[in-house]
Amino acid sequence: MKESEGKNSGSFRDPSGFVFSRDGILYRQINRSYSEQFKHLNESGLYRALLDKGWLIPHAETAETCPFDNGIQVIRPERIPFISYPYEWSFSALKDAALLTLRIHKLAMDHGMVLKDASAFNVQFLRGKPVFIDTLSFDFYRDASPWIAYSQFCRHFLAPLLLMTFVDVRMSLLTRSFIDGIPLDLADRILRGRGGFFAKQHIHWHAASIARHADTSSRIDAGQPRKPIRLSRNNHLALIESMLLWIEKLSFPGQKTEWGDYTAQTSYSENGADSKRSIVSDYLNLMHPESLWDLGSNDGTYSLLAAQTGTRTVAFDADPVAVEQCYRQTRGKDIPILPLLMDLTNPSSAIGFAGKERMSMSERERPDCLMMLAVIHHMAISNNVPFDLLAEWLSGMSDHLIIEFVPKTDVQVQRLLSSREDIFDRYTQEDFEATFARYWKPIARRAVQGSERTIYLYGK
Amino acid sequence: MRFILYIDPALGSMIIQAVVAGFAAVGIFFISFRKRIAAWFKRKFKAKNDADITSTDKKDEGI
Repeated sequence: MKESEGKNSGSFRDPSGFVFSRDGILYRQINRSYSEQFKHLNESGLYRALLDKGWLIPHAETAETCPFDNGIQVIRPERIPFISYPYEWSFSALKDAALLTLRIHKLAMDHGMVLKDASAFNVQFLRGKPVFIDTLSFDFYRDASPWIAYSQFCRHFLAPLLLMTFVDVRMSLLTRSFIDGIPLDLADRILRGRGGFFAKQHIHWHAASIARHADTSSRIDAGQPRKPIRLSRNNHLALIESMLLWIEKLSFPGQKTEWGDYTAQTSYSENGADSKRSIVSDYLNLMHPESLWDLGSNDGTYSLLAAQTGTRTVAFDADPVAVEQCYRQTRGKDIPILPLLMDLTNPSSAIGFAGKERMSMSERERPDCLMMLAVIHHMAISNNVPFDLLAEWLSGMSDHLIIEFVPKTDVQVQRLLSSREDIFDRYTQEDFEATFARYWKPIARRAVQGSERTIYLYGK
Repeated sequence: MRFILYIDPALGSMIIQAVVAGFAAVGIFFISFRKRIAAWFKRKFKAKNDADITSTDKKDEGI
């Protein structure tokens, strides 16, 4: 492998091949051991069927040389502009990813293949739709064989979905600690019988069966042959079909969080909301950013302003209800917007083996513009983040910034201060401007009509 | 033909899968049976309706 080439640090588990970049382009090497499967994927018509349904990321076959000599071919998959992870998805996004995985497995079985893994990391989101990105996840179907990825599917999808539905929607964050899915015994302990017969079978009995037969594995090591478990094709398909039916029925728990109904209870008058929309639109028209991160997007009202004009937008918010609303609003609509759950005071860090398998938030992209509307008071007052640290952090991520300053006299800030002592003497517009001017070049500032707020446009 | 098994399928997981799939097969059988019965009644009802409409039409035409 040459110096200009980099093996993707999250692509090492599967011996079928790996992802690497060469001269800034993303490629996938297919190893010799996977040649028959790759040939069958194409010749059986499965690859074409998956593309027709928009379920699999397309790739181009290339004449590039393999970086390692165990390779037979190099393909160039279509690049996903922004990689996201399951612990950042809304409930419905995780549910859609689970359904996609099962549907792909079922379609693969029609073509004599199966999904040999069911990792949630194999799914990404593109213009409001989930898409499977691991072209090398398909293996031959062996007659009467069980689904080897069943346990992984339960850990990566069923456990978080059931915990989110029956315990708390924030349970999705557990998947950040358990990179190969939530252990089923842990999910079982938290569920404590909730989730009905579906959870009983796939989590409770499943966890008990794994525990009961854990010792059997050591007897196999001692040389005792194991009788293969058989599962008829009919029962195999029934299992997949029943999981599809159950998952389709799971619905977002009706709980409300602090800011979930923000749009309805915003402090803006109609005039103020129009003014804010007009200022944001003007700033966006001035810059025409190709990509934008909306930090603290709430239900995505202002992210949509950017996305609808073609700006690829990632809408981050810490509220699972708001992220869910944004996902539902844009799901399947072919709009370039990606709503993600992200606490700005504790953004996703790099995790996994060697701390490199999954990227941190800022490693994934350098957007053309950042937008931070009505968030500064949450950062500075609720979380005690000084202006200086905030301005520095933001300036390291992009060359443009749209930011709204919310003064202390604003009703939302008053609400935050009502339950705590006001120790924020330096939370003033003058101090905000002076501090941000050290890291950013002011381009424009406009007052939001009908409020005391100001929206700034900064550059470098 | 070589198979690539790089994740641990876990024996306990395989065993419970076979059990759970059995329940699923029974469930799916009943769902499809129910659908077939519903479709049969729907067809029957539609045929009866069509026959009634035809006889009414015939009466209207004075046949």
